[in-house]
Amino acid sequence: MKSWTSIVLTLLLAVIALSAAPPPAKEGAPYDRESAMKDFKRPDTIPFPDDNRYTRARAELGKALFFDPRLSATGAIACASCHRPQFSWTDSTATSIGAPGMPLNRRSPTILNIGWAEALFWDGRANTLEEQALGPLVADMEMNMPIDKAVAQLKERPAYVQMFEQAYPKETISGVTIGKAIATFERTIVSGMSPFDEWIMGDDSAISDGAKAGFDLFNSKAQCVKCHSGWNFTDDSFHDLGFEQEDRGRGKILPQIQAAQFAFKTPTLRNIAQRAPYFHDGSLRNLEEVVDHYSDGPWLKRPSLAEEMRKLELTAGEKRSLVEFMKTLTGADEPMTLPVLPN
Amino acid sequence: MKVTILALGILGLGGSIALCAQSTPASRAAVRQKGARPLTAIELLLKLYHGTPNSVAAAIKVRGVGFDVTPAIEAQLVEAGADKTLLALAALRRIETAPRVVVPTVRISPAAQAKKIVTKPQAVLPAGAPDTYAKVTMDVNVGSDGYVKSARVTSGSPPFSEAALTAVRGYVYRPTSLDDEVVEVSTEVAIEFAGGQASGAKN
Repeated sequence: MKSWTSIVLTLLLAVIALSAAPPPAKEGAPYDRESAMKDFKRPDTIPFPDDNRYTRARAELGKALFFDPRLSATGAIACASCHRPQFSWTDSTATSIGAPGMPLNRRSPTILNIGWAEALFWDGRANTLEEQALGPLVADMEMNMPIDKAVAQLKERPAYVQMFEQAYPKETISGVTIGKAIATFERTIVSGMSPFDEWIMGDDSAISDGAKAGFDLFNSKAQCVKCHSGWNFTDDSFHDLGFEQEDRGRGKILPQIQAAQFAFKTPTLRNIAQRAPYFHDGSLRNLEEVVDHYSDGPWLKRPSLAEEMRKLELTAGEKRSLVEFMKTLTGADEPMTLPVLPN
Repeated sequence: MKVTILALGILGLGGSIALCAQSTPASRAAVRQKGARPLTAIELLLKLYHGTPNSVAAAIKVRGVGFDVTPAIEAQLVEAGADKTLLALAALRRIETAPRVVVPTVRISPAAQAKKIVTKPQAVLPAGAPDTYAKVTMDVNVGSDGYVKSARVTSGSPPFSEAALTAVRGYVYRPTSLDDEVVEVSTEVAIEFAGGQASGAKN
């Protein structure tokens, strides 16, 4: 009888112990910190496409083009006007100002770690960085510079002509080579090693206990990892997060797909503490508000709303841990020197 | 090896040739010295992209590299501008990253540790917190520098536990030594609250 009692007690304790464990991120797979950490190891190389491999000449040309305001109709804005190094490659406004006096309706997305992106722009309308690079250049609300005019202008500058010859000796100055050069430069913009990376690499003292608790929540109860996955903290996919808005996001590109309506691309969380305000419209001022939105809403209930958007019931302490964790993702980036523009 | 020795000569590291040339693959890893962690592959790449050859070589000399130069990595390093000299230097400065210096931890009684406190920020409750009596106890790890490395609540509940945890993370102690060796400390800290404020820490 005594042994039966001890067996029942043991089973009861086991049930209690299991029910106290953090909710698993995936059904049937209990959360385990050690295995979760493996998913966030940084890669060893940077992806460059075969038809546009890195060369220093290409990156230097791309950098000059990226920072050159003469490539806009007004001569006043460059790619770097909305993607500023000092603002983690975005800008300081909730929604960017395009051409002078032309407010845009979306926040400037960062180009940090953009070399790994599988779809570009908030709505994924470009498939390659080379294609994306030309978008703002020709957009009438932004740089408003027809490609032919940009090419003609570049050909008038001997220093640029020489740089193109060195970067793409078998090709001419064209929209293609302008896009390729800018894309090459952008692929070299990679977030530096962060305290989180040091922790992943084995330095247990690199981040605080609060941040570690935040990492556990990120991967379990808070479900952040369902979209912010992998070393770059993005699934490169599109989700409707329940904001009341007219902008249909991905739905503009895929009007027939229900899940694409009001959906925007999952941004990287690398260096995220440097990029307030947040979301595609810059509507939330800080990371605390972001966590509140995911935890408590409000979300506009509509057929496209991401299924992950449901009450998380995070406590105030849990929310703080999540923010503390996200702040450990700020890396020591390589200093960015500004180019001397060719005459 | 010829390439390596040539490289070292060029880079002014000739003095270390003999030592390194004798190292076996198993022991090739230099012992990691105090200072910055060895470079990862992508850090080295980024230094090549955004730095100068001299600054990259200097970084390798100071920090070493913490990765094996696989063919894929080598191809990208070469593409990024690394020449044979730099690759040889990287191979030579390969440093194993696994072993870490483990500082021993000793358990110190709350009363003994309390005597070493240097900085003790007050626990502050948020507005509207209950003014009832509450006690929060925490397990606290203090680094060899005297700063709190980590803390965890063992008893007590919000908002008291959160206020206590925030406060204790700001505690600074005099470092602890054992047999002339600086050690980390594991201890317990208790903070009591009454009338809506911290009424005094037991440690």
